[in-house]
Amino acid sequence: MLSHMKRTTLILDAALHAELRRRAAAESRTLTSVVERTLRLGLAATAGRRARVTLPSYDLGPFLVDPRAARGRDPGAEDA
Amino acid sequence: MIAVDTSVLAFAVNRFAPEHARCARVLERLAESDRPWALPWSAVREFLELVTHPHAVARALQPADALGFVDELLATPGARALAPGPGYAAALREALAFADPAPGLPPGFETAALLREHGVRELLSADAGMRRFTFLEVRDPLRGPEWTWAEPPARRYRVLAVAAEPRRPSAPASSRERSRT
Repeated sequence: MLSHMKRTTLILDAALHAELRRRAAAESRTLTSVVERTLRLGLAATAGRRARVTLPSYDLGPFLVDPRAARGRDPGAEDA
Repeated sequence: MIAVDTSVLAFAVNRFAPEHARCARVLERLAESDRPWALPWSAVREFLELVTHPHAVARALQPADALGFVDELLATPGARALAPGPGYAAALREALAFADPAPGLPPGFETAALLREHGVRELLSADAGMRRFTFLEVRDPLRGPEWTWAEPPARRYRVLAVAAEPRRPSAPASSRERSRT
């Protein structure tokens, strides 16, 4: 009957566990259904939020060869 | 789909460059989006060569750091690395046909051919030379308003079919006849 469900074990913070149990009792629901609903809400919120990306950057000093015109140029040849 | 060229990568990684802020913002907008965008391997190779070369930049980047920068980009959800496929030779011919007839291969031909093969029509590049490939809409992120996804996409064109087996020139019938005798 529950073949589409998966059994798992979660190790939860005690306070979080108590809060989930309190909600389950208040709503006359099972702990499983409260955890499932909370997880679904959390996943949906994460998917909807756009992650902020900060790319690494370095201080390389001035370009000695302009990247706009670097193609076809051998940087080493200029010093030769 | 829009692609990113060598110059944008180079300015974005070098925070000393005055062009850094605009190019970094362009890459971050791409990286933060789920929409697909392209990174041609030829541009990656040119970027790696440029920023790690002690004669190209005052303080050359370590190859591991340069590769790490590329890894960060490729790990983002929309990034697509473009590599040569079975249609590359045909795409190269087509890309060269779009460029001005001049002796030798024009700079940037590898990237142009990759974009042609994969049906990519837009290129974010500060290299004005890429405009010689007239099938490309080259958008310079250093000029005009900052680039955003809101810019209307370039007109699409067909993706090249995989090139057929190249035909070998056949000998004239008369010579074939002669060779049998």
